[in-house]
Formats: sequence, C-alpha cells, structure tokens
Amino acid sequence: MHNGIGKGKIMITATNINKSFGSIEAVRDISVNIKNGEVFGLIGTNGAGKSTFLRMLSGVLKPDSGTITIDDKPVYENPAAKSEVFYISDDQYFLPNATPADMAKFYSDYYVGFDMVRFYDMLAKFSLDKRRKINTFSKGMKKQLSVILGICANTKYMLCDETFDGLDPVMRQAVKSIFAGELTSRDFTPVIASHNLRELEDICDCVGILHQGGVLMQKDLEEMKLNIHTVQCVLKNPDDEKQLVQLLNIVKSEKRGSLNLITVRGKRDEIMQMVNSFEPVFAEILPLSLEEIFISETEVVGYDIKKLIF
Amino acid sequence: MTSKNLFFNLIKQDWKKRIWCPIIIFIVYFIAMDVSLLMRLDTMKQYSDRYSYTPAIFLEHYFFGSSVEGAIVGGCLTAILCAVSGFCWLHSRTQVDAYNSMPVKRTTMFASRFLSGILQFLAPFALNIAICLLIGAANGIFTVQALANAVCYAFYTLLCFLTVYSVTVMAVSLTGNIIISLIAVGVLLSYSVIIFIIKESLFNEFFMTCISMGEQKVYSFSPLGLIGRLMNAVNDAKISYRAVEVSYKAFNYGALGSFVLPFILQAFSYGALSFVFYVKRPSEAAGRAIAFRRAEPVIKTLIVIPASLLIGLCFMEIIEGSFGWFVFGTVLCFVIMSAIMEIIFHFDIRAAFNNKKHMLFNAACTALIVIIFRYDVLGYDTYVPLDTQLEGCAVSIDGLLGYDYRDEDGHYTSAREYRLKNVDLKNNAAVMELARKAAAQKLQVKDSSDFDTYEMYEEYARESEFHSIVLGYKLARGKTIYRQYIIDLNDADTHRLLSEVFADEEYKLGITPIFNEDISNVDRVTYLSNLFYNIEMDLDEEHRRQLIEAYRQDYMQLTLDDIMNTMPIGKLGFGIGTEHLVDVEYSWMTPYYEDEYRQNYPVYPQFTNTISLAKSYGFDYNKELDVENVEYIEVSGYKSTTQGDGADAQTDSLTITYTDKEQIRQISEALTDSSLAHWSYEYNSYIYNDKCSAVIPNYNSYYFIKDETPEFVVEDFK
Repeated sequence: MHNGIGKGKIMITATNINKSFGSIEAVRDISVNIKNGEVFGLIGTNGAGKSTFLRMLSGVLKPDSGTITIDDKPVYENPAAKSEVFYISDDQYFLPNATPADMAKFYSDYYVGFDMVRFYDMLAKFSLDKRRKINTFSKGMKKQLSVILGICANTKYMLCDETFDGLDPVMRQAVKSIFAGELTSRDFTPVIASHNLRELEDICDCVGILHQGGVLMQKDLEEMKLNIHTVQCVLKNPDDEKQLVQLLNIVKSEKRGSLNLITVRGKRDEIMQMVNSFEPVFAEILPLSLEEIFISETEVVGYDIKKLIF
Repeated sequence: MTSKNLFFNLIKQDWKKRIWCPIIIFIVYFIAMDVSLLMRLDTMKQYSDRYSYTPAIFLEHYFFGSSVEGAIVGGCLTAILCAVSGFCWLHSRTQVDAYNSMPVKRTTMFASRFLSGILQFLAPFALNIAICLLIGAANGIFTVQALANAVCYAFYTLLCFLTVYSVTVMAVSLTGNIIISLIAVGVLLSYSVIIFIIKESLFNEFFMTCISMGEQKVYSFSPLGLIGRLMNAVNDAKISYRAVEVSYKAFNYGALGSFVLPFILQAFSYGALSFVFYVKRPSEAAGRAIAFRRAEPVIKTLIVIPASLLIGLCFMEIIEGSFGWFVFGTVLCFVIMSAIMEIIFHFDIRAAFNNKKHMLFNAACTALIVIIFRYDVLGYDTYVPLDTQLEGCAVSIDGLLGYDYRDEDGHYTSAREYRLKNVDLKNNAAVMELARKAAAQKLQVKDSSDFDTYEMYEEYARESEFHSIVLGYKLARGKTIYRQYIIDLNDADTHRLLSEVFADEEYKLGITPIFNEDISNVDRVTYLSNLFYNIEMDLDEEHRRQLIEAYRQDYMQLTLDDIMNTMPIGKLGFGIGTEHLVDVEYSWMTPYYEDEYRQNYPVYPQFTNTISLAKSYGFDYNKELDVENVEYIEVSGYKSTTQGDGADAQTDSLTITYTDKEQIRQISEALTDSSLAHWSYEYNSYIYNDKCSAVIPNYNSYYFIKDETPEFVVEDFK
C-alpha cells in the first residue's frame, strides 16, 4: 500500500509512558512502536487512554514519565518533530466564523509544505464549499475537512482520533482510499484511534489495543491471521477428541452436539495434518475475523474483551 | 518545517481571529476622545466668553493633561479585555489541542500573543490620539506642548495598561476557567492593598501603641496600589500652587516621573511570571480552576487566611471592638472560604471539605496570627529600643501647642505629622523613660464600648487626665519605628518627665514652624490680636525678625505648667508664602487672589518680651475691653425650670441683655474664645460653661470660662 520509503523502520517510539490526571491514571506504562509506512490502529473503549496517548504523541500533553520520539526526536515542545505530525482531535478546532479557505491559510502558516492547490482540489471532490462558514457544516463534513486539511499539510505522520466516526459509509471509503493513495505515493504513516475495530480491519497493518490505560497487545494483523485458526470438526469417538485437544495449542474449545469448534494457534497446514491424523468424520478450517482474533487472544490473557469490542 | 515569518504570521492570525477587540477599543476611545474633544471645542467656540482659558490651553493641559486619569482607567479596563480575549483559549481543550499540537514553540506562541494584545490596544489608542491632534491642528490650536503632553498622556496610559495586562495574562495562565480568571485578576490587582488594610486594621485594633503614619506604607506590589498612588500624584500635578491652583493651565507630567521605573519593573515582573506560567502550564489544565495542582494549597492559604481575618475585623468593627465577635467572624469566614475554595478547585460541592490536613494547617496559621495579635506575643506594645540602638527620637505631644502647616506648594501637614517630621531629640533621657513607663504600664484610653452606659463613659471622659504622645524611634539605617502611648498627667512622675521633654529646646524648635521658616518667606503683614482687639501691621524684615526673636525667647522659657495653668491672652499671626491667583474654569467666575497661609501662635501673659515689643509697635496685648464703648452684652443659654410636683425638669432657651457697665466689665473678664482656648493643654468642652455664651455687638462671640462665670449670670441661668 505504500511506496516503500523507509518502510518497516520504527519511526514512532513510545516507551513506558505514564500519564495521570489528578488521581486518575489515564495511561499506564504504555510502550508502542510504530513502523514507518504502516497504518497503525489504536482501539479501546472510551476512557481507555487512546486520546490521551494521541495527545502525548502529538506533543500536546507531556508524559509524567517515559519517552516519546518521532524520527528519533522527542516530540514535546519540539517544533522540528511536530512539523512532521498532523493531529486531528476527536473535536477538531476551527477558527470562529472561518471558512475552509481560512482554515487552509491558518494551517499553511504552521506547515510550510501545505499544498493549497491540492486542498482546493480535494474540497471540490468532497463537494465542500470553500466559502461556506464551517460552523454551518455537519459533523461529518467537519471530519472530512479535517482529513483534507491533514492530508494537504503533507506531514509524514497523521494522528486521527475517532476520525472515521460520523462519516457516512461512502465518505469513509473515500477517506480510506485517500489514505491508501498517500501510502503509495509518499512517506506517510497514519495512526488511527477508534473504539470500533471493524472500522480498522480493512485498513490497518498493525493494531494496538488499549484497556484501562495500558496496552493489552500490539501485533501485525497479517501475522495474527496466519497464526490463529478455528477448526470445525466431528471426530469418531470422545477419546480422539481428548487426544486432539492435548496435541493442539488450544486457545479456546467449544462443543455443540458432536461438532467441535476449536480455536488453535499454529500454521494452517500443521493443524489440519494433526486433525486429519484422527480420521475425522468432518473437518475444516474457518476464517477468523479481526474481531474474533482479538476476542480469542485477549481472553487468553484474562481480559473480558467482549466488553471492549462492539 | 515551519515558516520563518511564523512570529508575524501568528500576530496576523490573532488580529484576524479577534479583530472585534481593536475595533471596540477604537470606537470607545473615538467617542471618549475625538467626539468629546469636538463637542468641547464646539462649545468653546459658541460660548467663547464663558471660559477663562483658550482652546489651546484646554488641549494642552486639560485634554492631554489632567484628564489622563480617565485614560488610565480606560487603559486598565482595556488591558483586561485584551489579555482575556488573547489568552482565554488556554481554557478550551479543543483550542489547546489545536494550538499545542502545532509545530511552534510555546515561547513563540506566547510572545506573539502577548505582543498582539498590546498592539490591539496601542494601535487604536494611538490612532485616536493622532486624530485628536489633527482636530487640534484643524482648529488652529495644535502646539508643540500639546504634542509633548499627548506623548506623555499615551506613555502613562500605556504603563498602566502594560501592568494590568501582564497581571491579567498571568491570572489567565494560572487558571483554567474564565470566571476564575476574572476573580484571580481582581485578587492579583488588589492583593497588596487588601493585605495592607488587614495589617493596618489588625495593628490598630489589637495594639494600643500602634499608629498609622499615612499612606506611604501602602504596599505597591499589586498594580492597584501603584495605580492609586499614581492617581494621587496626577491629582497633585494639577496644582501648581505658586502659579495657579486649578489644573487647566498647569498640568505637569514631570511630577509623575518617579512612577515610570516602578511601573516598568512591575509590568516586567508580572510579564515574566505570566511567561513562566504559560510555558509551564500543562495542556490538561484547560477547564480546571487552577492550572497547577501544586499551587492550589498555596493559593488557598493566601486567600483564606486574609479573608477570614478581614471578615473577623468587620464583625469586630460592627460590634464595637468585641474580640468574641472577631473570633466568630474569623471562624465563620474561614470555614466558608475553605469550602468555597475546594468547591472551586474541584467544581464539585461534595469536595467542600477535601484536604482536611491543609485546612487544619490554615486553621493553625490563622489561630497563630490571632493569638499573636490578641496576646501581643511579639511584644509590639511593650517594645522600646535600647538606648544604644537609638540615634534620635521624634516626639509629638498631642494637644500641646500644635500647628498645622502648609508648605509653599500648598501641601498640608497636620500638627502631629509636622512635629514627628521635625523633632529629633538626642540624648534626652526623659523621653525614653516616659516611653518605657507608658509601655510597661500598658495605659490605654477606654472608649464608649468599655462602659455599660454612655453617661458612664462621659463621666470617665470628663475626669480622665489621659493624653497621647507619639514617639518616632530613629534607629540605624534611617529606619523609624512609631509608637503611640497614653500617659496619665495625674501621675507626678509622668508629669515631671513630660515637663522635661517639653523643656527641651530642640522639641520646641521642632514643633514650631515659624522658627524653621526662612524669614524671606514670611509676609510683611503681621497679625496681632487679643480677645477683643486685633491689628494688621506692615513690618519690614528687620522688625519681623525682631518680633520673631522676641517671641522665640519667650517661647523657650515656656514650661508645661505655664501652658496647663494659663490661658493665652492673644495671638501672633504670620503670613507664610505669597498670595497667588486661584484660577477659575468659567469666565463669569472671577479669578481671585488667595492669601498666603497664616500661622497663628499663642501669646501668654508670661511673654514679656513679645508683649513689650508689640506695645512698642503699637499693639497692647493687655488692653481690656473698653466697657464704655459697649452698649450691652447679650448672653444666651438655657434655664432649667422644675414642675410644681418636683417631677420632670424642663429647659427653656433664654437670652438676657446686660447693659450695666459693671456687669459688662465682670462678664468681659470671664470670657474666652475657642481660638485662644484651644492652645490650653486642658482644652476641652468642659472648661466652658455650657449653660450660656455671650455676644458683644461689633466684637465677637465668646464662651464663659466655667469657674470664672460671674455669680449673677450663674443665677440668671440656673
């Protein structure tokens, strides 16, 4: 999905980040590495610390402890690092009585690479009037404008907090297309926070899950999909079932009548070879959705992930 | 990568964002300055004969002169507007997220906003001044002096603006909510004045030896203290006493020069603090009451303790000095303020009694302060410096030969202030002995609240022999500590010590302005008078000098007993300074010459040198009333009548005319007037016979000396 400039190199590093607001521990010992050129998804319930983490990543908040570097530069109070980051908050600020054109001028003062031509071009494509007052825009239109402004700022990193919420399916797809285009055409790394995992499934390369201020896990999506599977099978006798369960690296096992539903870690071929060695009456590998993978993974570590994913 | 011109772009952005601010400022100043100038000039044109000054003088000295007071007030209000509108984005999380995520250092952002706010005031203000000068030029009244005064006018307004602006930016940076910011602005602007008032009130209420020595002690670390002093100076600058008294032709900006550095220092200090708070301010502070959690207990302590004491003092004042009510008011306010502060900090009424440990700490501090004052733990009232520490001592014995003073610039000085300023006794053992005695005995005058009934208080007041004496202990490095003591003249030892102090020539010279005045500043016309006759003599310098010298010789021989036991027989008056023209605003009012300030001095029967010299000049202080020239004396008073059943007494006003020459003579020997009696150390209303008073046609009104009232008068008004 990208042009491969420095692809795979870790460019955003957060190490042992802590942040409290009074007695509330918003972020607890978070360590995250984000590689260049990948789409990083950050999911979690409301209050999980996503926004706080992004605000620290964008240099708005100063961590109580730990370090955050972007391109090996500390981000807080460092214009050199921040000039490569565009942050779209969940409640984006627009100047009073401003039009899209005003906002473009506003951001162009801060970001010298702001592409004004492209801005007007994208506005037209999204059917947004450059002279219309933003305070008359719908929530979705404001989100679109935020994304356009972020894209046209031409920064390497774009931090999106709940940006896809409020977009209609068509616009959501359009934005995803724009992201895809950016990833292929230039050095671009979006970090997208959402509480909706399904939103991120088809765009993210890597996902981190936050819960109650801490990171439950951070993994590459493809890697996850290749290493966990659900086997649906019917074996001839109960002893075979017991033996099979002992042989496989079981994540979760469920039985519905004579049908066994077993979620297993490991390679697809190796798993099927073991199952077939018991000469099952019926056996097949079922595809796992991202949501199911996370449910399975997180249940193992004792979290009731069903509460996290809607 | 950010733009190299970012700083200026940020200023430009800020102007675009709140362009309403300079527009409002321009409109307000346009109406207050340009329109009002045009209206005034138009009025002056239509009614040119009405005004005693020209439009040019009006522009120079009034419009760009004394009316700088209004500009300063406007500048202060505008400063709050500019600062709040420029920095209140810090209270919005949305805006904080937007601005603080931008690739710009906080220092740059602060500097651009700070400068932008100043320019938003300065640009429209300067533009209006320029328009006013153009209006002046168009009307042919533009002068270089008007331009110079306009620059000064703008400069002093800007100084006040900058100070209040810096304080307001600091308040906004320190808080996270607009309402709290405005409260903080009020507190920061006036904190030093409030602390001064509380401190002065506590000292005055609890320390009997405390004495306030004028406003020079008002702390100026808050802008209102400094601005208040500047306003007083502006008021003084309106008066050029030697030339003209009223402002229009004489406003002098030079008199305000001493304020420039304090204002610059204050603006710089608060500006630096606001910068530090801005840079250190956490982004998450938006929406909170106080931006810095660690500052909350400090702020709470700095507000709760003074507020509690202030309310306690108010209760004490209302209930006439009751310490119980002081404690009640203090405790009540302490609890309420502690709760309010916590509610404000957390925006939650349930948090009212959070931080109990800190509340206890504040309570302990407040209690400690109350105990220190109530029980004089630090020994304020008993403090008397060691003789070795003392370099000199200023003394003011109240009620004993006091002379108010007005200097050549018209500044008034009370008799007490004059004495304390001019008396510097060295090596006078009696003074220190008197101080130690008074401090050790803790003598104090009671007031009406110490008595069950007002009649009891009146009786006490009538019989008391207490008098106050103020001492200024002059210590090393120019420090002077003032104490007021109450002394009892019925005490023989006190009487002796006071006599010794009064006998010190340095004391008498110090308290008497005429002996410290340059003879050239004493007017030729000298006033001599006794109870019934007076004369104005035109004396040359040599004769004046001789008269003052004769008076000085007599004066130096005067003892405390002389004053206590003798009523002056006349007065000697000297004119100080020169007469001056008092300006008037309108031409239909006539400018007039005000006399020089006249100082009157008592002439006692013991002043033989003075009396003799005056007689040689043609005035006899001993001349009695020529009864043959008096047709009658009218005595008015009240007569009590008792009902037949011996019940309620009734008083009726009564006037009796005495025409008998012998009666007139006897009456004349028992009279005095307040102008002479007030020099008596025993002076009070009780030396008069309060039943009646006399009027001698073509002479004056008089009181009867109580113990000398003729028997027939007493009988007539019984």
